[in-house]
Amino acid sequence: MSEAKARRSDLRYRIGLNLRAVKGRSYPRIVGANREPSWIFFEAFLPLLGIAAYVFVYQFFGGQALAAITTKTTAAPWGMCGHDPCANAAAQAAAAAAVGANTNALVASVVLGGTMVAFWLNVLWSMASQLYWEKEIGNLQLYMMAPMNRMALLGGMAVGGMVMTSMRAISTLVAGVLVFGVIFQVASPLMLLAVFFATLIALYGLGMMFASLYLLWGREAWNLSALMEEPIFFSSGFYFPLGGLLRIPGWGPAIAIAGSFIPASLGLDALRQLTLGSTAFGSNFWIFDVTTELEILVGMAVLFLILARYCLAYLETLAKREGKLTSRHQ
Amino acid sequence: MSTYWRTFKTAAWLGWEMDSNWTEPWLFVLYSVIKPVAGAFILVLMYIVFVAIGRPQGDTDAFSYMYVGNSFFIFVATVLFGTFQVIQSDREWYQTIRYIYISPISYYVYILGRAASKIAVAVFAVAITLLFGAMFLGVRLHLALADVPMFLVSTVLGLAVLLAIGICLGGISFLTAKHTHGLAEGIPGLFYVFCGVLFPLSILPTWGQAIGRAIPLTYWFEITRRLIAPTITVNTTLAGFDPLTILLFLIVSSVGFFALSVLIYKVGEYFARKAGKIDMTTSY
Amino acid sequence: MVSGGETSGYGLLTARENIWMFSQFYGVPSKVSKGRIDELMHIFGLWDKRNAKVRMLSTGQRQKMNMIRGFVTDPDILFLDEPTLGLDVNAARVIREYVTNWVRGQKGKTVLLTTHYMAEADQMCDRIAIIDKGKILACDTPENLKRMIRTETTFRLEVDAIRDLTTFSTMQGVKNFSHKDDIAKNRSFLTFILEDEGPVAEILSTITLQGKKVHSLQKSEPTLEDVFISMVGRGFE
Repeated sequence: MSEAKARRSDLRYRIGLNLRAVKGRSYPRIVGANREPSWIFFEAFLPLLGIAAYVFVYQFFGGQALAAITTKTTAAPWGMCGHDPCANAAAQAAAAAAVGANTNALVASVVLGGTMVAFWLNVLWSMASQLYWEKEIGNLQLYMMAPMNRMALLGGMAVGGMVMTSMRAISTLVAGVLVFGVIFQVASPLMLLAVFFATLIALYGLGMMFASLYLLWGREAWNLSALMEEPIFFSSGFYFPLGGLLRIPGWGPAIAIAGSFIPASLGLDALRQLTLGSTAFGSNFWIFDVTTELEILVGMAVLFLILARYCLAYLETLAKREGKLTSRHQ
Repeated sequence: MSTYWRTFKTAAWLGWEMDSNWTEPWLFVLYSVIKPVAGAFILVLMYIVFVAIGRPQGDTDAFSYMYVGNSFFIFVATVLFGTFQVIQSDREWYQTIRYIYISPISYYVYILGRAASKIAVAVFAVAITLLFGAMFLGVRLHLALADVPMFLVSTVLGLAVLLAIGICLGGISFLTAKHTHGLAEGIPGLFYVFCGVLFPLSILPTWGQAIGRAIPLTYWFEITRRLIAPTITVNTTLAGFDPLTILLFLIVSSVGFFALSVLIYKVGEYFARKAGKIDMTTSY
Repeated sequence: MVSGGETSGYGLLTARENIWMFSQFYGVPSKVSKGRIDELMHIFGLWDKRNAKVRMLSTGQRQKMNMIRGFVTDPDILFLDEPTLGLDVNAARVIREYVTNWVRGQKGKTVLLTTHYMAEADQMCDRIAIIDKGKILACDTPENLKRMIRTETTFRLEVDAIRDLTTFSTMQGVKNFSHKDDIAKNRSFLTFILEDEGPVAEILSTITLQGKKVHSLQKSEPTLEDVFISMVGRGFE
């Protein structure tokens, strides 16, 4: 065999091997997880309740605001429109309609945030922590001995995770529309898909990077994942438009910038603009326009995947040297 | 009795070590505070955004209602997770459940012991969150000296109910796959929605209000809010009852829940033993 | 690599699916892999459990599954780390026979076996390295290793349970000494590796002077365990 042919067939072999590895590792996620029917209740239905709570919070605020507008007093015969009494019935009706529209937009923001929560939790617990978990259950050493590229292994986890989590994300969206009556107006479906997939790839790229970092850690890894729940929900604006943070002088913008390093932040911001219209919330709560956010997300996706590749190689060597690749229950 | 106490003590020590010895003490304290405070901040931002776009004059009553409820909800999330995850972590992670389960101790008491450290951490986190709200966010707190006994009684009862629910979930998780995070997120979500934590029951549809009234935690949140933030005027649909009556509701529903939890735990354990699932591992 | 007592794969997958998954990490086409899995499952007696979830398998069945996982990729080199650890007699025999036939029946196949069972090493291995505290003390064929101590004489004795054993180790002419106790039978089994037969009389008189009865005395061919004791200076711990 000529050298060139050998190289070509070697390349073909490596591509085939790694594609098979992706398929192999995604299999337990997709088939295995669905085999245990309890997941529908635990992974799809129960998390909806947490999202419902945030929806009701906005409806509570909306109800209180509406009550203030519709409550008539002698000083304000058409209720209060903001700080001042409403000038007439038309102003009162307009203020009430604005509260209704804003509440719908905020509820829709929560629903979209809820779908992203599903992916973020999957990234944390089934991507970032997964190599650590594989070490605990004794699979990691077998993976490390196999000839596949480690990125293929992580890729398989990511593909399986995305498919599995999509079920939860879809159930959140459907509940948002059917149960909470959220109205989405999608003007540019292609852009929406582009933003969605760029966000997912960047998000799972970040997860891959974390996974390699976690190779060196024991329970710290698990606790770090736990620590990246509420603080990230907060700093990335999962339940409110991220621009809200910019309204807080001093630390607000700093948190928003820090939170934007998680791809879900800008992804959500863009998705909200694309599904609610960029004029929602008086156009005052967006970070960047959609195109800029998409460009940043694509950049993040590429960057995180490259970083993940190098981190994994470096930390695998380090973990081997320090003998942490097979040490369990640290 | 001494065996129960010894089991509880050892399990509590074990739980504390598992929770805290992965890092330096100061980092553990920081970790224990950051999570709940960030959770409270989500609500703060939700309020800020709503005020900015829909109600410029603000609504401090609604905010205080939500903030106090959310602070005490830290107990719910932490204690529930601390209880039911004992079974899942011993089974799937440390794979020690078979050795502990067959040892001559009460597994029920063992779970309670393991949860004790979580309660200790939660008390600290709740206090920090409330203090932060009172000092920096204008949450109006005022606990009268005369109300302290009632507050303590209701807190103990509330924690007992949470432990009971946690053990009940433990019984269920004997039979299910590793759904720690679905449970950790979902079950507290159930109480988040139906127990008037962030918003009054009146926001819920009638059937939702009925569910809320059947759960003791609803009364716990109501009485706690009345005692430590008496100036909140949000109508909760329980306004017609005085604190003592609500405490009575809490006691009665707690007893019912406790009995139900023991029953569900025993049933879960029975079927798990029958199906040989006590020490199964289900990772994917 | 296959280790004894290891847990591998995912509890929610069946035995067949788990092995298939690992074969994918080695780039084995699905069709080939599934054919091999079925064949190996028949050979290892796991066919009936092919669709059982891994978490429902017994230790022996799980180890058989692990062995199939090792062979399904048709490796050139296979690491077996205590492959029969904790297995029942039949399962261990099936595994030993398959490994021996696999490595001897084909060219270019190597198995690196680590084991504490000397009989297993004797039966399966072409070359054996005796390692103690990380150092290779000897590496040769089983026959050559045994020949190394054939100049010495091995005696095995079954006696009444004996407590004071210190004199045996220091006795002149005794190169190495080990013992096992059978508490139920109240007997001790003593193994002596001697430079020649000279010390036998002294050994017997030491035992009888302690008022203990000698039930059997046997001069035997050295086993690999004798080789190990001779080299390492102690029995297995």
